[in-house]
Amino acid sequence: MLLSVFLVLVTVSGTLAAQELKEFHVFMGEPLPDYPGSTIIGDIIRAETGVKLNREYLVGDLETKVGLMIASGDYPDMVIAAHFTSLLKDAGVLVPLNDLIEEHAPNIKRLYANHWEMLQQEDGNVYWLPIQAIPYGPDTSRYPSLGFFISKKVLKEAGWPVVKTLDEYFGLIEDYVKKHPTINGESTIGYLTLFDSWRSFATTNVPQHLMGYPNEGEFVPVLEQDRFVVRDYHTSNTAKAYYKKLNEMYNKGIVDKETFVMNYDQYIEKLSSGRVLGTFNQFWQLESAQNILLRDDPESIFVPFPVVIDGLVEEYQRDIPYVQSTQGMGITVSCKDPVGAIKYLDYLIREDTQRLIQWGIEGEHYEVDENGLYYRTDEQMALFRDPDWVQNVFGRQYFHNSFPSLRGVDENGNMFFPDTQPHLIYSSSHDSEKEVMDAYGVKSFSDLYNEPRERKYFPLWTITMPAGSPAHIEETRMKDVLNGYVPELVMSKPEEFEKVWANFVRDISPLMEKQMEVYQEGIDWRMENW
Amino acid sequence: MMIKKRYVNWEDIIINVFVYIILILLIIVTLYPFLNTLAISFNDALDSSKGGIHLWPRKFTLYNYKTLLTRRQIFHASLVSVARTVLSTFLCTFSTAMVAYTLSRKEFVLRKFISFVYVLTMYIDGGLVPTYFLIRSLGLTNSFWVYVLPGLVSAFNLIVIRTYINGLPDSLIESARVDGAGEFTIFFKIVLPLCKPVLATIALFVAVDNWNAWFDTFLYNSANPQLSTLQYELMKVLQSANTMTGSLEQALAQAAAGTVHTITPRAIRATMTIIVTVPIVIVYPFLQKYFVHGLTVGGVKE
Amino acid sequence: MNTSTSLAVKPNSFWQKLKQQKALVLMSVPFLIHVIIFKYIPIWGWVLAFQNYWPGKSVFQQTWVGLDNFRDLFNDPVFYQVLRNTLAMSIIKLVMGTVASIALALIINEVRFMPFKKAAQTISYLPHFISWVVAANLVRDALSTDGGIVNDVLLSLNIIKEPIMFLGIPKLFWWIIGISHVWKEVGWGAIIYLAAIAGIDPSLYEAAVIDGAGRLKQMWYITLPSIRPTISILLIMNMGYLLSSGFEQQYLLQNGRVIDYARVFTIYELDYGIKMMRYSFATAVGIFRSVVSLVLVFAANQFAKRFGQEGLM
Repeated sequence: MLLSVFLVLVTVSGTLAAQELKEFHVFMGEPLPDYPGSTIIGDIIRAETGVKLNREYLVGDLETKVGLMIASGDYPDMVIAAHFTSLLKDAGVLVPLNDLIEEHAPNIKRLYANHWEMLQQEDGNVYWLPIQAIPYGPDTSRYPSLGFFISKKVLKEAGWPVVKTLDEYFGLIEDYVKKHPTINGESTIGYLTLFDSWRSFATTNVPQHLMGYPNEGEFVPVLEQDRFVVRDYHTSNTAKAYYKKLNEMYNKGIVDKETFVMNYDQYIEKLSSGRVLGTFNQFWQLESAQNILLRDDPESIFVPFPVVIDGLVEEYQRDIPYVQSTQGMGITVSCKDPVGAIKYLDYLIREDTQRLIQWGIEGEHYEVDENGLYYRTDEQMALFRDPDWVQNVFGRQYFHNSFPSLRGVDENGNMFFPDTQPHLIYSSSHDSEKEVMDAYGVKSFSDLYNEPRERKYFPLWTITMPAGSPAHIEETRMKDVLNGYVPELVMSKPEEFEKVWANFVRDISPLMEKQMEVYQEGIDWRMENW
Repeated sequence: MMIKKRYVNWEDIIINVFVYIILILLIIVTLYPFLNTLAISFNDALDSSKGGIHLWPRKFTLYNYKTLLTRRQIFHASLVSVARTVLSTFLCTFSTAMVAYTLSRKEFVLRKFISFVYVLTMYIDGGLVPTYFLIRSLGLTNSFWVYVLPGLVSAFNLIVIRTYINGLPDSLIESARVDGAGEFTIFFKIVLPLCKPVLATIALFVAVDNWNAWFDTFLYNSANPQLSTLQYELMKVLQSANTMTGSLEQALAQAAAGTVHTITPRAIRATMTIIVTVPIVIVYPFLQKYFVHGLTVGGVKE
Repeated sequence: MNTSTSLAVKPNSFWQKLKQQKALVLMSVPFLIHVIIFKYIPIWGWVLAFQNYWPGKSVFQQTWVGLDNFRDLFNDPVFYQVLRNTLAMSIIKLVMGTVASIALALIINEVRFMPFKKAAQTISYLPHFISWVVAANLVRDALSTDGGIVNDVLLSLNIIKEPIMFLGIPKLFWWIIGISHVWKEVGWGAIIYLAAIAGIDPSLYEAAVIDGAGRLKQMWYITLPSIRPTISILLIMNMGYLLSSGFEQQYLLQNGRVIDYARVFTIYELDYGIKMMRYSFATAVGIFRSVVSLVLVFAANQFAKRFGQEGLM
């Protein structure tokens, strides 16, 4: 009895949703709560395209999910799966898009024109669309993409010093901890480093930045004569100095004891508590904590600096604006209506739709001034400062993160992303942020960094190892060794450091050669063809 | 049972003290994590993040539950979970009992063969990918039945029920047979009613496994949100707790404005844990009286 | 349908017997077919191990590589680490779990005050009913250095001076797995032994009391020997799981710091197999696991039979 009632309920609610819309099943390789069903921009897009998306967001880990998807032969209509994109192509899952775009997608053709060479594979076909195209020109943002972040209160107390080297950075933190052993009644955490599963690059990728490089990944291409030569940095003197410094700080109690076992949630929770004085990371990994601090404890916000190992190194850590050419959204061989799918993507990418997704409806979500520049009133701004509203009512995340979109400057001088609108970066900043910017005489935190250097292939990390190849196995092993040794390097007794370091170098050195070959080949190809 | 002794027996006293101390410790160690989670789920999220919540909420709120339970996905997923659990429990228990009965008949010629086939399945499997292929070619992907059909009869449960039936007095079955009863009649009229304790135990095994399963949803039904289960939603929540804290920031903005309601990843985790755990925890004490009688592996029968 | 008893002439051929046992066949063979479909058909997938499987092609179009995948497996230093971890954790879990469950069963059996006995039992089962997804969260919270109850208690008892990062110490990981396993399953594990104890003939105890045996002696000379068959059959059954037990528990509690001690076979199959699209390699690992499991379980079964215990089959 009871059972049949449940079964009926389950089936009824299953059939109710069906309507006269074209449906596409899309898999997206990021975890996001399910689509709320109706959002401001989602409803407009659905009405204009007659397309209903069945979205499947990632649950569990991406590798397992996509590994099984590929093995099974059960594909969604459209798929975007981070670094698995090229594997999907190799496995014959993705259809070539050239003809579809030529015939049905004038906007895609026009807006991706700048990047077309990068997207062409060896067979001359294009199989996926990167999630961001930069059709007219790059933008700058309030925060640089990565840095050694330090609490505002440390800087303020020390009289706004410019932090250049690792020694200066930890010096400031150490002094502050000595003076303020507790914050809000709890012990002060001098430095926190994130080591949770795949996010551990926030700890292990640091040496390259201390050498001045932007984020290249596991290796750095060094300009030698006229050629970019792939070099290892994990065993460099800079890496050694970095881990030795962390080791020293750990043994002094500056680095949090729990830092190597906390997960990402705990990391964010600690950062948002205001007790943490410093952390290295890419900004997007700590953005949610920064937003919490801005509202809860604005004096404890984090300020990024391009810290290097010593005064001799010149930094160019800022990302060169790049299109993530090796990953993006593709249409699979299972899609029964590839024309409909490409038309849908073509609709999404056009400037008007992008403006709808990023800015909203004119007069309701943004205004246009006499110079044609967009801005938001205080009330509008308040709406968009509420992430829950933006995600669940407005619906931006559901059309932005995984779908092809545009960034940078648009065709009439505005920015596609409201928070990079140049005249708004400073004026729309929080008072607490303004205080820091004023103290350093800059209009955005990115200005604390040097201009990036031209590196045409940028970045190295978008080159992927062929699936299951010896280089791929070597990569997994190398990361295993790295993840095994780094905590030991940091947490061993100071007198044991040299021994651990020697073992680390011994174990990791044989695990690089094959990867470096693949990277070198990729870099050379890019320098030639891009 | 035991003959009571009327004089002071030091051995008795020492054993009693020891036994009570151990059991009380066990109760504390077992219950504390649950009560702590329960307290956090009912406590204001921002307040919890300051630490120091043990057995009782400091700032009581229902907001955490309201946030999660109003998500329609979670409501629908609990229906699916209940449906699969009820259906699987019923079908598996019945099927297993039937096979177990045939295996308990010493004269059954296929007895050894069938036992062997089942026991072997406890230790070998074809692996994730071939199993997936099979399920797909049977048309069970994106289907409710994938929750029920593949695990219909499990070798372990089979052994447990068979052992129990072996322990029943042979005379009952024999006399029924003399009266002219067939195998089906004997099974339904005599064996099943006598097996109540073991069936209740197995039913609980199956129910727990089904209620707690999420990997099958992940493998076979993740493309269809209508077939999502509560444990799978729990996995989602545990993973995207951070993307859900969009609402944390909003809540903090509200907190600044005076309307205090917040939610943090930790509070979400605690609340979801309670939502998923409570139903099964409510059910099992009712079946408990059967456990001890039902579970006999390895003949104690002489 | 009077099948067996009324026949005076003993049927001698297999088929004759089978015909007489129509009803039993009807009750079991459909399920036999079911288990063959769902459990045995996937075993054809073992051919993958001898190929270099690449998705998108049928099994017959794949390249055959003979024993290459097994050679890779036995040449992989990680494999030996995984073997060590799996065996170590399985044995720790098996020994700790069995000893704790038997001890708990004996202890519960000694409680004379029924309401307390029932309450203790009910509560001890509780963790069995939650999934590892949930349990792992509870374990993490309890072991945290930041307000985790274990550190708090040890600190307040002055046993340690500063919080210990339990989950970050590689050498401790096996024991954390063992202890959390005991925490979750001890109550449930004890049931099976309590059931066995309940089946012991009371006259044995009465005789012992007349002979002047105390409670400890009764436990040692009557209760323990009586549950020996149960202990041995459970041990045999678990022998087969030495290489496959526990995936979720390790998977959910591991972290980069302890991976060298946490990686067990199933995680290895994922990390070095499926995640890298080395499906054939993953299958080879699975075959190794299954074959060794079978050998272990049969060996244990024979061993038990030789020593006069009831076997599994």
